[in-house]
Amino acid sequence: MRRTAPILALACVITLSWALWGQAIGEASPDNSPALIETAAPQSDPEPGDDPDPNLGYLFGVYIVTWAGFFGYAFMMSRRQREMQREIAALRAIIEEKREQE
Amino acid sequence: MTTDSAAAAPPSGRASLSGIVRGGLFVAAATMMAITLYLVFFYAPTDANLGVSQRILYYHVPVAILGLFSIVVVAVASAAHLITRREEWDSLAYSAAEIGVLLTSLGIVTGAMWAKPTWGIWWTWDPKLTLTLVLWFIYVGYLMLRAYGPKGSQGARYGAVVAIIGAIDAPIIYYAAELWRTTHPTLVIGPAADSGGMDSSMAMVLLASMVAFALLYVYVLVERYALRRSEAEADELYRRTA
Repeated sequence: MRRTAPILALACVITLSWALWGQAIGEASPDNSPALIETAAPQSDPEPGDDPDPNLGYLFGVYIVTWAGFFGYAFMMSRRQREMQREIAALRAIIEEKREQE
Repeated sequence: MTTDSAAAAPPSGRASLSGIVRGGLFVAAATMMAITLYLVFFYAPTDANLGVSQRILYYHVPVAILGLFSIVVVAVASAAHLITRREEWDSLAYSAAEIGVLLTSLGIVTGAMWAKPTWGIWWTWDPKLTLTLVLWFIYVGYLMLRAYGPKGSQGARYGAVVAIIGAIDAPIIYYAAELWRTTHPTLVIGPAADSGGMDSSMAMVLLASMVAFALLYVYVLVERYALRRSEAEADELYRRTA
């Protein structure tokens, strides 16, 4: 887990940059963006000056919350594993000491 | 990718094999996650009505399904513990319950963040949503029982009973959209999914996302299980020093 934490952090950075890059590309060249798929009745055309993607914040919010949850949990596990490691080593040393005294 | 507990113990073939398996799982999960990200942002088409918020589906559905699946893992491992009395099964059940809380919490939060732009509200007392909240309480109840209830084998047995009863909630949640008139969309994945209800490219990206999250789930479960075994080892050493 100790070696995993920086890799996970790096993956987080890549995830965010990739998502932002995708957004930037989509806005810069609408012709290159993935095709539109209509799954229900079409909604009305946006008013002039309206934000074309008002829900983008929700999308990034979901991705950030999901990764924050996983990374937070991985960090917690990593810290706990280190604590356990120290405890086990200390207890083994005490047992060994007792055995030598006997 | 070797764990601290493995490093502490004398080196053995089994420990190195465990390290290789865990390393392989991590690499597979990270690779699949990178591929999924590419597919979500560059390959998957944008829904004409929901817009970019529809892409929440590729995270919300796998996380929610795995949260549901986790209680089944907890129940099966608990049943195995009750039958065999082996502590390893109880460790697996506990680890799966902890990850289940994380996934169910993420499922509820991401669902709310999708509901707001789609339905105009963060939360509604829809059967599927309410039953998922009940599942979250079952997980939390299980973990609280393990933390504050009787210790040792008695606590493990009590927890196992709670998990087995709690797992009844899983199929009800899965079929909730079929059993009741709900705001939540019908099933898009699993045996009762509405085939042809989703564009094929969207279905392909969802499948890739499911595989990526499933690999991540197995990796995190294996790591948590290893930690749980370390905790059990520390408890045993404490008893010996007392």
